[in-house]
Amino acid sequence: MTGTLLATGGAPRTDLVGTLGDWAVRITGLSGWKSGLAYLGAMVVVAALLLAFVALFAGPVTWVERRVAGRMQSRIGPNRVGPHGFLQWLADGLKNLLKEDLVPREADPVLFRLAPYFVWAGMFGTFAVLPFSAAWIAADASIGILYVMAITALVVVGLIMGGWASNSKWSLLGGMRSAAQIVSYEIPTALAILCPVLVAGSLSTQDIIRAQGGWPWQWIAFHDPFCLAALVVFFIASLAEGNRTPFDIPEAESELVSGYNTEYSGFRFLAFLFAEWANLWIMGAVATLAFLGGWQLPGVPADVQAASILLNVAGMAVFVGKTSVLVLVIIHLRWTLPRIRVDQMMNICWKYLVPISFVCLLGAAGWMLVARKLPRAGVAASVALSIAGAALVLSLFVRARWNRLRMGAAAYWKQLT
Amino acid sequence: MTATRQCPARDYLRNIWNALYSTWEGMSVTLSHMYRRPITTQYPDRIAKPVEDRLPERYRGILEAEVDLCTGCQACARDCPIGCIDAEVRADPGSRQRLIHRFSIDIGKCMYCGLCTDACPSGALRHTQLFVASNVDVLNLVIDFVDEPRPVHKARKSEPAPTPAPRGSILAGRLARIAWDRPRDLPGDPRQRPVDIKIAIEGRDRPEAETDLLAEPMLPAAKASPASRAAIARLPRAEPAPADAPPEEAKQDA
Repeated sequence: MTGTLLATGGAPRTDLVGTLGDWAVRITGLSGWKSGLAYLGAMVVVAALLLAFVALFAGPVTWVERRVAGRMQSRIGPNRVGPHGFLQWLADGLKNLLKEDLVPREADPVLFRLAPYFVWAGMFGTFAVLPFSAAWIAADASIGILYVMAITALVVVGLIMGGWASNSKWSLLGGMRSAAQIVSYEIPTALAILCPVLVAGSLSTQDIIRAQGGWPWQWIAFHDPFCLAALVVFFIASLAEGNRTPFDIPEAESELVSGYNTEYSGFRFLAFLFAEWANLWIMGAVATLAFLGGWQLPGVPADVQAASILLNVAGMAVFVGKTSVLVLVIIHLRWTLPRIRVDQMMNICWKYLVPISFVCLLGAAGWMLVARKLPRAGVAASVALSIAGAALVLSLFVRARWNRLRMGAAAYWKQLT
Repeated sequence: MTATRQCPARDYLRNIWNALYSTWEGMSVTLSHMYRRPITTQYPDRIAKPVEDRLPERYRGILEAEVDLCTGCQACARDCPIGCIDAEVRADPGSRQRLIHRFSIDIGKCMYCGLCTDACPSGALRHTQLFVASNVDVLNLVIDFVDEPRPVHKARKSEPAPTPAPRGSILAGRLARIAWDRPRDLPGDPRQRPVDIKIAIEGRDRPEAETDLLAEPMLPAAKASPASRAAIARLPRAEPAPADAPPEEAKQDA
């Protein structure tokens, strides 16, 4: 990575650290090994920007989730702090900061204190390769997807460390469960995401997006039926990797109090929760970039978009929009599905997701061979698949409306007042 | 598939279909709630109508005794399973008239069963729709309905039946006279405060002000909690509760 950062070839930079570092070198006139300092400074600046973004995402999304959850249960949700309760996340964060930072007497103090950092670093590290727009990515590493898979594995270390160091049976069980779950589900996640890697021919997150287009039928999700199935597999498996309901058995309240973070309080507890909420963005962003066309604007080539600031902003809006929709779907799923059992979770992983993702991988490879011979048939299939996908989304809303009318909520409400 | 034939591949595919279909169906159900209005009642400050007004007619709130109608039969006190009604009726030695000396209800003990109101022959005892009476001191929850000994009500055929006061009006006047933020300690009160409660309360509050608290008589126009004040203000009031004349006395004179 250092090589790509310091290389000053003819091609224009497409990552933020490189662009900022080049600019700093030009301004300060540093040369030789000292120019490395400029790039180091650029890294710090970009990391601070990303940190601000993560904080401003993870905070408000807790409010969004609670409001959505409230409405789905015919409640209102938090609506007292700020307009429509929007500042609830600030109040919650402040409350957690003011709480006592307790380390249990029988706990392993060093590991106990260290665990949140691992979880947090494993989450935040992925943002280095998550793109926001054509030219806006912290580091366009050539191993992007591999790096995401590798560094999220650090979360397991933190979770099992916290569970072990708490010296509490609930924490330990939660840590063990999360280790078993995340390690198992990494296999279908990786296999499913190999489909877009196969289609795009690159591991770099930006290259995968560049291989797609702005229109839905140019997205990898609708490239062929196998990629669409891979998207579903990836989505389910990344839910499990992020410990989201219905796969939140590591923190199953009914069995384990709160799982691995039972003994945590104050800011350390906040660090766990922060990572969990920020993980929502990672799930949505990886699915967006690998399957749903990323920041591609319809009819705008990627290099044109990279050169213009306005188009970059538009691309970022598209990317953030797609990711937010996926985050809403994740929230929607959480308040729809009940938590599954441990054996069911393992069943789903090993008997369903892993074989299906293998089939998807082989199927996508075979499809590519056929589509190369019959390009028109490939495009026709993509258009048909994207229409089917749109119909599926539409059918959900139609069905929801039908459900609402059937229940006669209006009459019910009238009777109450 | 028939039950006798086992076909693993078909089961496998059916499981996948069931998982996807039931998730879609479940999501449509939860999504349909986004089209509906929440049914939350935002008690106490964001409600279109006060909760007291929305309660059903037969709601069993805090008990209220209209002593003007009380015949002094004490059936309520006998029927109360926990003995929270303290009704004392004695004959006046001179005029041989039966006088109600005390009629107090401990709403801290009351379990709102309604047996006393069933027993009351004249409708003097009834449940109101008030329920806000939170207090710092448990003894403040004893509500007296008689200030001075007064004759019992006697129903006569020659007189028209008296019209009862609006439901809740008497209780509202009584509640307004009870401080919600100060422990009650009337001199000469036969209900002595248990020692441990006394120590706990006075040790926690101002121990140096103990004598002040004990010497100070309970003020008639005392501070009610904001919530109960709001509830009381909405009620139809028979008489305003002046500082020196409780409403019952004024009514008796008239």
